[in-house]
Amino acid sequence: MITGSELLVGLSEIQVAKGAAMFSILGLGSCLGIAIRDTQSPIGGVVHAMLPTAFANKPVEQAGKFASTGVPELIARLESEGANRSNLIASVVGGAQVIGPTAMSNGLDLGTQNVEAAIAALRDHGIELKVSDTGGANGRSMIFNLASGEIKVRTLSSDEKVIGVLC
Amino acid sequence: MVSVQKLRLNSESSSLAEPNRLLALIAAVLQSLATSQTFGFDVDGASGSTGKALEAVELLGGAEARCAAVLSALHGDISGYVAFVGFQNEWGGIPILRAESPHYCFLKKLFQHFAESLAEHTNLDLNSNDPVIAVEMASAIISSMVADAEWNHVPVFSLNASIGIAPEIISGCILYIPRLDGYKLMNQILVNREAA
Repeated sequence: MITGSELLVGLSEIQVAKGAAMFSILGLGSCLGIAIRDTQSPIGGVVHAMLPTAFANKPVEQAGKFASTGVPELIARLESEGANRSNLIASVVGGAQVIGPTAMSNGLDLGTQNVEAAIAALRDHGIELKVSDTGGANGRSMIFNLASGEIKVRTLSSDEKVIGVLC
Repeated sequence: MVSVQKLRLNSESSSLAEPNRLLALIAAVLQSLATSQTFGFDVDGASGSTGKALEAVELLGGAEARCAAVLSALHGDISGYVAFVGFQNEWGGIPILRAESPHYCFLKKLFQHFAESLAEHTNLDLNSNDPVIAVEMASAIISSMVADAEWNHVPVFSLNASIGIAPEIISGCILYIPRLDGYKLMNQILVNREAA
């Protein structure tokens, strides 16, 4: 638990804070920044998910690597810090296809699969998705101000702007 | 063929044999292409690890640095894609790495030669599409490619590289990501060759 800090959330990381923290994820491509906040108390956190779902034949070493495991892990950490499940709301940012269709792609691109997995995980745990900025071809940086609940996004072609508020 | 000893090889994988075997071949192919080019082209620091590929973000100027990815899809028995990712510096107000620039034309030819050389060394069919260019934040490009590789259970092969002639030199990295079936096929061929 960290308070009053600027927190850079790296790939596959989950971070939780209380109070005046500012979370940042820089340069999201197909990956996701999933932020969850308690509307009644300043407790929140972010997961920087890289892939949609865990592999069936491999143990999960980092829950934050996958949207499907990162969301429940983040919820559990928030609850252990005093957050109330019924007060939690979420935002999802990222899931772009910045490098275009590749020889790897079969059907849906990875960014879209990430977004769908995150939405499913939030729905399965009864968390309302209140703010989202996903898809397209542009990379994004996401900033989450825990105190105000503001979610900001900036891209190479657009300045930082508030896309919604988790409150 | 130039000796791969010229390049520093690195792999963090727990099963070192497979990625290192193929990495040595890829490094050798690119090193031999480097020495045969008149347009400036250098490669160094070959790696078959996800961690090393992600470190390229810092070399490119940080997570939000404006970078260009020139990416060519590979088709045939061992399909996948190969890309050069470089900091999108400008010369005279014009981005150096753009469609039809000398750098783009060089990379197009390089990727064709890369596909031909890899096909020749493995006796498999492989050819490249004309490259596409994406301009984005360094982290958005690199992390998307790494995620794509992880999702498809293949390593990311990366080499630090620079292209161009002073003052228009672009530093960056070359990333090669095969498809799983092609990756397995290439490894089997190399294993059989070693056994023989």
